Formats: sequence, C-alpha cells, structure tokens
Amino acid sequence: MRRNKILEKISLKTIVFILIAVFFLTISVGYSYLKTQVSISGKATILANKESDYPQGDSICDVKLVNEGEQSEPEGYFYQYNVTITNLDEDVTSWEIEFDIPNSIDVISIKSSDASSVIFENGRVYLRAQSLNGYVSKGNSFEIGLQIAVSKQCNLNMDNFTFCGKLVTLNRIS
Amino acid sequence: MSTRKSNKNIILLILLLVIVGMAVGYAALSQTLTISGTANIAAEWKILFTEIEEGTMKGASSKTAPSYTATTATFDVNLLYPGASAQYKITVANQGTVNAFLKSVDGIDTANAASPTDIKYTIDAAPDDKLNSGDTKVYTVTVQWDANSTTIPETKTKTATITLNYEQAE
Repeated sequence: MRRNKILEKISLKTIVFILIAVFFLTISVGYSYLKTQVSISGKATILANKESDYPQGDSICDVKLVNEGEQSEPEGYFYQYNVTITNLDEDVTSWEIEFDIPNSIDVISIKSSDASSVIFENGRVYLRAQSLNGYVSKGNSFEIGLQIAVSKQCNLNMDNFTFCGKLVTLNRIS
Repeated sequence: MSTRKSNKNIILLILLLVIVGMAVGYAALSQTLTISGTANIAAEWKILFTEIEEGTMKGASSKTAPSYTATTATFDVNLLYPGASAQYKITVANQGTVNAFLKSVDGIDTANAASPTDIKYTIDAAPDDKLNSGDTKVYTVTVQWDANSTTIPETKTKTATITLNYEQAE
C-alpha cells in the first residue's frame, strides 16, 4: 500500500528523466582517456665571479666528444675528443693548451698525437705544440685530437681551459 | 456416492503420479550447458623517460650528472657568463601498446616569469606530438643566461618543473 502511494506520486516523466540521467552517467564513467604526466626538473645557477688563476682571454675552445667506450688493455673507459681552438688573442709561435680534470677521477692515460708532450700533474693537463704545428696567427683556428682513459665511465668535467696562459671561452659540443 | 468419490481420488492420484513422473523424467533428460570464458585486458599504458644526457654546453657545466627515473628527469647546471647556455636531451618512450600524444607542456611560462628573468628555459616539445606504441622521442631542453645581461642578478638560481602531459590517441 505504502509502496503504491510512493509510486503514485512519482510521475512517468520523472522516471524517464532518472533513467536517462543514469544512462549518461554510466557512459561518462565508462568513457575515459588514459593519461600520464612526466616531469623535467631543472636547476640553473649563475656562477658569477668565478675565480681563476689565469687572466681571461678572447680565444674560444670547442670540445667535441667524438667517441667513447670500454677498453680492455688496460681495463677502463676511454673518451676521444676533438679540441678546436680559435685564436682571438695574438699570434703565437708555439701553442700551449691546459685544462683541469677533477681530482676525483682516476685517470689512466692522456694522449694526443698532435702534441709534442702531454703532462698530467696535480689535476691539470699540459699540452705543448709540435715544431710543425706550433704557429697560430690571430683569427685562425686549429684542431687537436685528445684521448683520455679512465678507470671507469664518469662525467669528465674538464674545466679551466687556457690557451697560451689565458682563459678561453669553453663550448662543449655533442 | 462413495464409489464416485473414490474414483475421483484414484484419478487424482494417477494424475499426480503422472505429473511427478513427467517431472522426474524431464529432469533426467535435461542437462546444463555451461559456457566458461575469461576476458583479459591486453592493452598496456606505459609512457616513461628512458634517457637524459648533456647536449651542447656553451659556457656551462653540469653541477651534478643529469639523472632520470620513469617519471622525472633532473639536471643541475652552472652558467658562467651572459650568453652561456646548456642543452639536455631527454628521451621519452612509449613502451605500452596504446598510442599516445602530447596533450600539453606546462611549466615553461611559469618558470620564465620567475626571478631571475635573465635565465630562460625552452623545450622543443609541442602539443599534439605523437608518440605511438613502441616509439621514442628525444626532446631538447635549453636553459640560457640572457646574452644582453649587464648585471649579475641578486637571485642567481632558477628552478623549473616542466610537465609533459600525455593522453591516449584516438
């Protein structure tokens, strides 16, 4: 009796409306796109007034990694670079290139067939020109090859590059 | 009278027995057929980072080696002079079976509006970039110290969180 009274109060229109609403609700719940978010978190710091023992010059040094990989004898990992110097200071008769390698890196060897001597001392690498390739006039560029072998793959953060005693603008190209 | 009544009872009893007999016979002949099936959702939704590495660094050096997880790629870079710039190449892979597309890229405008405004972030990702199942995409994030800066800003560090929003493709 009570149920019949309730049903009598609800009109047919109301029932139809409820049914349609439930129908669309079911469709919307079932019909949803797959989504995902991935984030890139970056931090950049302006390092002003970085102190160096060397005066700033105008020359530019481009360091390009051309090859890397495991080596077996001696066991370790090697990096091969092309180092290009654009001389914007003054004519030089025998170039000198120097740079730092972090002390935390275990260096096995450093070689360059374009240099007459390669010295690695106290975390700094000293490259000296050969007699045939030492002259570089202002405005000209030259390139040398560089091979660095380390005990394990790492981030070789070479820094503090100088050309004939003056700091260069360093570009790492990959 | 009593004979008629007993005849009726007998007929009723016989009919009852017939009905019971039919029910038993019907049950004996009936058999249940069962269809058993299992439905599995074979589709897989899997979008993730698979690599981050340094690109061209001009007057810039990574303070720590860039790293990544499935959902976050991270870098920390020092910029040495106005005009210095650092690039990081980030690989996104669709290792699922559902095609996807880049719905939106968020966070760049917010980051660039924040101080110091001399440091700008850019990314070469664009909405609607497709990333189909099995594909990878390499995006380059560039952070640069404005070459026209003439002063060192008071705030020297700027962070950015760039979000790539992927949705399933139609």
